[in-house]
Amino acid sequence: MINMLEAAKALVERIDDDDLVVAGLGNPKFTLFEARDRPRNLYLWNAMGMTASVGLGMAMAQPEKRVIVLQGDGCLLMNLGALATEAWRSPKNLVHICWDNRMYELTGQQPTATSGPADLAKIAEGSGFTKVERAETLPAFTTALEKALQGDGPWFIHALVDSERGKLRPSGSPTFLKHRLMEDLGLQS
Amino acid sequence: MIDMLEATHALMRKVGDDALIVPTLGNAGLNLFNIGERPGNFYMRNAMGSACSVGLGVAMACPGQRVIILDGDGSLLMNLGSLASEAWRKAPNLIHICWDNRVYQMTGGQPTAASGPADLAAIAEGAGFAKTARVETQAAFEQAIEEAVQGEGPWFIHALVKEERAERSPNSPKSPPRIRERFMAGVKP
Repeated sequence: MINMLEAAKALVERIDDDDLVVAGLGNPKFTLFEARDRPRNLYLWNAMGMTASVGLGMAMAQPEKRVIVLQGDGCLLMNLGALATEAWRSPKNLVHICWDNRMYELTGQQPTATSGPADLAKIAEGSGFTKVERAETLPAFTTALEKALQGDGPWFIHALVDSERGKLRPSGSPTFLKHRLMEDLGLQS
Repeated sequence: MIDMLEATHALMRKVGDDALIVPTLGNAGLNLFNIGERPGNFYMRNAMGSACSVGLGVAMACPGQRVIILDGDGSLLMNLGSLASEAWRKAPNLIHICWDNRVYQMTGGQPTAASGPADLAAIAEGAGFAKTARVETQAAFEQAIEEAVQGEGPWFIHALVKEERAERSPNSPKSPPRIRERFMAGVKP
């Protein structure tokens, strides 16, 4: 099983300074913040389910920059139709990573549907993703990630992670984070 | 390609009188009202995306009756995670039919993600449904229904239908509380 923090560290070591990273509420944003904070990380506050939709919008609006979505299984299941929209719009610059710990960890570890028969990689394929990887170990994850960072997307990487809770919390309001990101992109906010 | 009205006729001939039917808004409910109005129908008023969740709830609450969800592709894509919940809860009395016309027909024929690479039957399999069928003709639809009503579910039947607008009867039910009260008369104690 993959440790989410270790995988987030492997991710920030491999991405370009230019890349945009959108992290969903809870552990995905906690671990990204701990791995490395940067203006081009957009941490979502409370907007459960929206990570994939926000990332898709950013990928379409910034086609020259790579956009990486970091989302948990509970968050993705809440807005699963976003996978079909992503595959349909098919932006080449999009890498969607799902950290699957098979539970709603922050609210008390209630099991999600992926603790049952649901297979998110298969669902992504059914949605129309042609580039899908499933990783259960850190080396498998880094191999999949390196492949995704080299070629055109959209990519879906389904990473099975343990349920360790991230220790740090990113500071800053949603407004602050948005302005910080836009300023770094040279956009008027 | 299947005609939704004709397929609804065939469905009503093949399911028992005590089956509970939950259609989504728009064509699914209008066709059902026009040819098979009965207390066991629970019509969605505006609650786009919710027929599948309501149908799952009814199936779990009424295990002695067969429950049939009549969904559309646009509605299902709005609440796609429900497929994972259905497969996980595994109600044997549930048949989920999705009429797929690949457009948001009632709002002006805008294409859905099903017009692109998304394959709803493949998504249902990924979500964990062990029994799925994809049908493109009336004969294949009727055969799938016969198989589904004979054995245990949950079933997912993906029916590719023509893009045709159903007639809206002036008598079609409008008040959700009245729909609910009438439906409760169709539920066996």
